[in-house]
Amino acid sequence: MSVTITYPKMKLAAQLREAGGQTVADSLAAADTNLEALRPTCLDELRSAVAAAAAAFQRLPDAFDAEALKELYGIAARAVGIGVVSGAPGADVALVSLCDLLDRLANSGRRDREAIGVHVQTLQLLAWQGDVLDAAATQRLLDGLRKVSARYAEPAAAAAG
Amino acid sequence: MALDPASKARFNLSKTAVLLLDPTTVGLEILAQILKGFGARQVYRCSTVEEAKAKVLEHQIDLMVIDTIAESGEGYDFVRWLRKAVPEPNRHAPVLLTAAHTRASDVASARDCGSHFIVTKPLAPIVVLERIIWIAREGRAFLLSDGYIGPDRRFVRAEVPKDHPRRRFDDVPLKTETPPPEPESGDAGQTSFLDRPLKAAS
Repeated sequence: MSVTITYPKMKLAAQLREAGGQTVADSLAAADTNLEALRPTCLDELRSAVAAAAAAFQRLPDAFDAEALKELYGIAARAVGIGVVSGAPGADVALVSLCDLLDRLANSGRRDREAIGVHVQTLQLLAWQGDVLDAAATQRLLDGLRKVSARYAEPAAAAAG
Repeated sequence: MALDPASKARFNLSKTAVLLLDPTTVGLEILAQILKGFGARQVYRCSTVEEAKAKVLEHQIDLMVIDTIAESGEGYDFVRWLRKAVPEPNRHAPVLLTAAHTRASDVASARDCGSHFIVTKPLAPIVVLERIIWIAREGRAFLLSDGYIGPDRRFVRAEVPKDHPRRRFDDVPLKTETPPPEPESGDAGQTSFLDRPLKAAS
């Protein structure tokens, strides 16, 4: 097998060092301010995504359906990252847990409507009433979701029930 | 040492052409607002791989922030295409992958597609900035082989004894086209900021 090594010049390195620019502190503050302005939009988007996930969940057939799981996975994956900007960071954790669960179910050919349902219900809670939950309650919910999705982490463990 | 969020060290992204690829409008907006906060002015926003390919073929891009597009993995395919099919200089452009989720079947793609770094969502501005600075400072070698095209993924280049039976062929670079880049000159503060070791935050 032949391997060629090159050392391409990276323009970005020179650009970052150019005079002027802005400080790290100012940049992070500006980014945070910009994201804060997106909060209402992101909250609307998060709620739309959770509503779409709930609708997709309702459409899940009784039998294993890879395409239906894929649809729900796509809805969840596209929403990851919105939660933290919308002021509901727990929603991102729940969405990632749902993605883990759906990926594992799809790979193992299994279905578990209850496991998916508890994720969707938690997302609804976090997206609409997250501000009334204290941090400890949110953490307990998220820990519970992770335990649910972890049940399917290993095929052997999943087969064992 | 992780990047200090209160640091007064300066960096300049004002002349950097940045390409963003994210399949959702709001995801693109989040990325764009983070980059805007960092001072980037020339930002190309793309919501599909086709749009991103067109921009890459049309403009010189200095930094790409590419979503993996979890449900299809198209983001990985885009980076593979970039490394294989695109002329220089964009072929070697720094690529920061963002991932909402990585399917078990995509773990190898995430590792082997040829990006410089992968960052998981949700994105924290400080993590994005750390990775951009890391990428720029490292000046990694590029490897071109049958199975992989992209930056050298080794983070530690430990000394290997000369008589070690399993030396890597490239422990002594034999086929370099140009020598490793030297740090560019800037003001002393900026240079030391960009050149000192940086430990990424988790």
